[in-house]
Amino acid sequence: MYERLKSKKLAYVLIGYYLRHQITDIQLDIKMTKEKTVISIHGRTPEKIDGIDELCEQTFKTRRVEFEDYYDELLGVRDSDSELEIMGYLVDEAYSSYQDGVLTFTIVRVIKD
Amino acid sequence: MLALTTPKKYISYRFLYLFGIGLILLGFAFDSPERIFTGMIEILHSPSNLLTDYFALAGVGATFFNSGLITLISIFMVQRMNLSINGAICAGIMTVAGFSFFGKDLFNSIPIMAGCLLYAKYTRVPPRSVVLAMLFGTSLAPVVSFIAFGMDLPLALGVPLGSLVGIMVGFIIPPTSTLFLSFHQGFNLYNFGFTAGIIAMALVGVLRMFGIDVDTKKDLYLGDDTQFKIILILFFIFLIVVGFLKNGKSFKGYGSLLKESGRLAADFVSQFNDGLVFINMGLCGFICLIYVFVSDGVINGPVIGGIFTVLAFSAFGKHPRNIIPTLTGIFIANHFSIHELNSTSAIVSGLFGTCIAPLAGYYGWPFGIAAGFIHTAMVNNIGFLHGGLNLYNNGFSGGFVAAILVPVFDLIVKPRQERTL
Repeated sequence: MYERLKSKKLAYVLIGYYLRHQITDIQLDIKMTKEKTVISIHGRTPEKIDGIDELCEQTFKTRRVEFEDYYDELLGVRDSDSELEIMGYLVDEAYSSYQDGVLTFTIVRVIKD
Repeated sequence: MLALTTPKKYISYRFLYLFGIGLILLGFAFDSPERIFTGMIEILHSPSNLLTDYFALAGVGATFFNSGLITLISIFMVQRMNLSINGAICAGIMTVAGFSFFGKDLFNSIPIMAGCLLYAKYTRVPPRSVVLAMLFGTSLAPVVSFIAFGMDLPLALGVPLGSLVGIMVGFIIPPTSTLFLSFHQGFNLYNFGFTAGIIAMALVGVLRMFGIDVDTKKDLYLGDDTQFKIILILFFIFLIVVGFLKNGKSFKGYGSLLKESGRLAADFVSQFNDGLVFINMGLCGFICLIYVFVSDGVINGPVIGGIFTVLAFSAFGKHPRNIIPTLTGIFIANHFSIHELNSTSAIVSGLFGTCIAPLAGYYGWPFGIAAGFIHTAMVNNIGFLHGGLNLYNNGFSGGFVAAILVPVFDLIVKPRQERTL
């Protein structure tokens, strides 16, 4: 239940991020195992979202388990890229790629006790 | 494929321990051990509701000692949880230090912290998940002291009853504080103050329903403040110099920090580095001092508490670009209203009023000035609701101000929703 709720919020943020940047041909994959949750979003776009690499570097710094039950309440309340900083509290790894006009964004959340 | 790995940046425990020890040493520099001891007894026995200036109540030495002691205990508690110090935790510890000048002490803080831990045990989450609630939740510490010492109950009844209510309050702070974040959308940095205000409002309502008066008061030190000014100026210079050295003997990157809106959860320590955060703390400290000088105010316990809290949140959302417009709005409101510009109430409403600084950072300086103006009107009208039992009165007001202004500002900034893809 706990992980499903977190995954739902994270997926919501990723969808918002893509829609905000006019990417409409969107697919979302969520894979949940006992060890980790992997959420990937794919979208067709003529060019990468401007500043996505820098944004990733700046925002996905570190998982902070002690904050994820508090600040995750702010996920999705504003239509703004700033909420991606908060997402950093909930994810362990993040990757982005752009190939053949498809922008993929993947986040990994390791299950912790 | 781009791997998103970045270095971790934290504030060292050594810095915070030095800060706490420094406060205790200052206590002994101001007063004798005997005077500090008697002062501490007075602090522990005080109802502590707003505005109880411990300088006036117990003396300067005991106040610094009280602040240092609680700061060291808070740092030790965080260290026991094996947490690294990021912006939020740094803000929590330094806010505790600030409010220990006028409201927090060991007796009234421990039950609330215990209540938070009880909540963690009850919901089977690790104690570290409630660390912010433990640090900021002591905003309601006067609830414990007021019931124990302010209701004329026998000590044998008042002390356990106050402690019990404190534990109950601590128990409900973690879930309620989370809920209220979305109310102001993260534009009020003192979310725990807003939460505490709502809880205290309900609690005071119950007390008044049974004929118990709970009123705010003004017990303030208004004497010579030259020594405090010198100490603060030296501390701010120290922060800027240390930050400059840590940042490779430069201010590089500070421009980027100033571009941040400051909206929750803007962790400057993780986003930038501790050096830039120290520089930011020092500069924000000087802005606070200028505000006090321009207002012709006296530096006493609550004002030092306000300045420390601005420093605290200089690691977590505040910087000169977003606090100056807010302070300007509050100054204008105080200047042209019935409030006395140089009163401690007006000064602290300015310093703590910077809790809504993210509005200026996000929407621009004219909006920050407007927000500061509205905040002044609100904060002076809202203390009655909680009778001073919520120390973060500005956080309580700031929550309402942000909730009212954010949709209005949105309407002005983007009047028409995009209707096309």
